[in-house]
Amino acid sequence: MPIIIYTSFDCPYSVMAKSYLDKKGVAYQEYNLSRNSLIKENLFNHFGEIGTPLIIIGDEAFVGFDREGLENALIRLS
Amino acid sequence: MFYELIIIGGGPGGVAAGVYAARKKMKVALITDTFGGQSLVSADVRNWIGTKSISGFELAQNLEAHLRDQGGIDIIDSERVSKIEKTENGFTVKTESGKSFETKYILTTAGSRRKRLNVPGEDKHEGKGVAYCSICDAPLFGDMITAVIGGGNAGLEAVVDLQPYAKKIYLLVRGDEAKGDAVTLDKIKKDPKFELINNAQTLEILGEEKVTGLKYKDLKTGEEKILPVEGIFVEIGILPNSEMFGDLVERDKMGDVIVEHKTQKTSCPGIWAAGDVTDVLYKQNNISAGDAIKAVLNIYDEINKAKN
Repeated sequence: MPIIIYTSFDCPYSVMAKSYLDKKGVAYQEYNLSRNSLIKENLFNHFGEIGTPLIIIGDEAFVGFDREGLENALIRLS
Repeated sequence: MFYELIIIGGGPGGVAAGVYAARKKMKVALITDTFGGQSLVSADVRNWIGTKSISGFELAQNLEAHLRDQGGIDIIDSERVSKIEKTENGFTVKTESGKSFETKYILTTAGSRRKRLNVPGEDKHEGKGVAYCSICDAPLFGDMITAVIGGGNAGLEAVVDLQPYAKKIYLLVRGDEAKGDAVTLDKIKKDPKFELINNAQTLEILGEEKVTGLKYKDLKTGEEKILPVEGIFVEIGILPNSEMFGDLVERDKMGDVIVEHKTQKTSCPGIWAAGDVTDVLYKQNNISAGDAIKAVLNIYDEINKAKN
C-alpha cells in the first residue's frame, strides 16, 4: 500500500517527516500542496482536515509530524 | 552510564551548553526531541549574531551539525523528557518513550511552546481552518480571508507568511498597538489587503465543518463583532516547558523556572536552567545561548570544587 506525504514549501515538519520515513527505509510519494489548490480542496473533503505534513499510511491520516503515531502506523502496516 | 551532566533541549541554549560541556570534557548527554528550538519554524532569522539572514530550519541544521562535531557528548535525539526525579546521588531523567538516565547535575534549556486561545471552537477546528504554524500552512490558505491573532513578532511573521497567498489578512491585537518589530509592522501596514484591529479579544471560532468566522469583543466599546474568516493563525505567546520538574524547582505564576541570574542556578541544588524556560526577561536565541554557557561554566566550577 503506497504511503503518501503532502508537504508545503519551507515547512520544517515536512522535511522532518520525510527524513524520518527515509531513515526507516520506507518508500513514499510526495505532493507539494503549495502548488495546487484543487488538491487542497479534495484533501479537505476526503480527510476532513488539512495541514502539513499530511501523511497517509493505509487508511490512517496524520497531520503534522507525529513520530509515535507514524511508528505505530508503520508497525500496523507491516 | 552515570552522567555528570544531562542537558535537556536542542535549541540554541542546549546546543551552546552541549558544545561547551563537551569541550570541557564533562561526562555529558543532551536529550532533545528536535533541534532548533522555536525558531525552527521561522522563515527568516535576521538577528542570530554573526549571520545576516538564515531560515529557522537551516539554523537548526547548523546547530545540530555543530553539536555532532563535538566528541564525547551523548546525543539522545527524538526523545522528549517527561519527568525528573531526585535520587540519592543526583537525578533520574525519564522520557516519554520510557527510557531513563542517571545524572549528577541537570541543565534544562527545554524552552517553551505556543499558547492556545482556549475559546469555544478552537479545538474543534484545529486542522480545519485553525493553524499554529504559518510557515507550514500559509500556502494552504490561498485566496482566503484569514486572521492572525497576536501582535508580537510571531504574529507579524505569520502575516508576512500569509501575504503571498491570502486575499485578506486581519491582525487582531489585544492592546492599543502590535508589540512586534516596528520595521516589520510598518512594512505590512502598507499592504492593502492587511487590516490591523487593536483592542480585540477573541471570543469564539465559528463554523461547522470548517472555520467560517471569528467572534471578537472590541475592548474599547464592549461591542461584539464577527469577521468572516476561513483561516485563523494563533500566535499569542508561549508557555514554558517546565512541568517535568513538578515541585523540584521554584517556578513563578507563569510557570517559568526562577533562576539566580548570575549563575543560572535554580532553587534545587544540582539543577540549572537557561533560556525561554526561565524567568529571563527577554526570550531571545542569543540570550538563551549565552545564559546556557554561563550555566555550564558554573556547573564545571561545581564539579571541580567537588573534586578538590
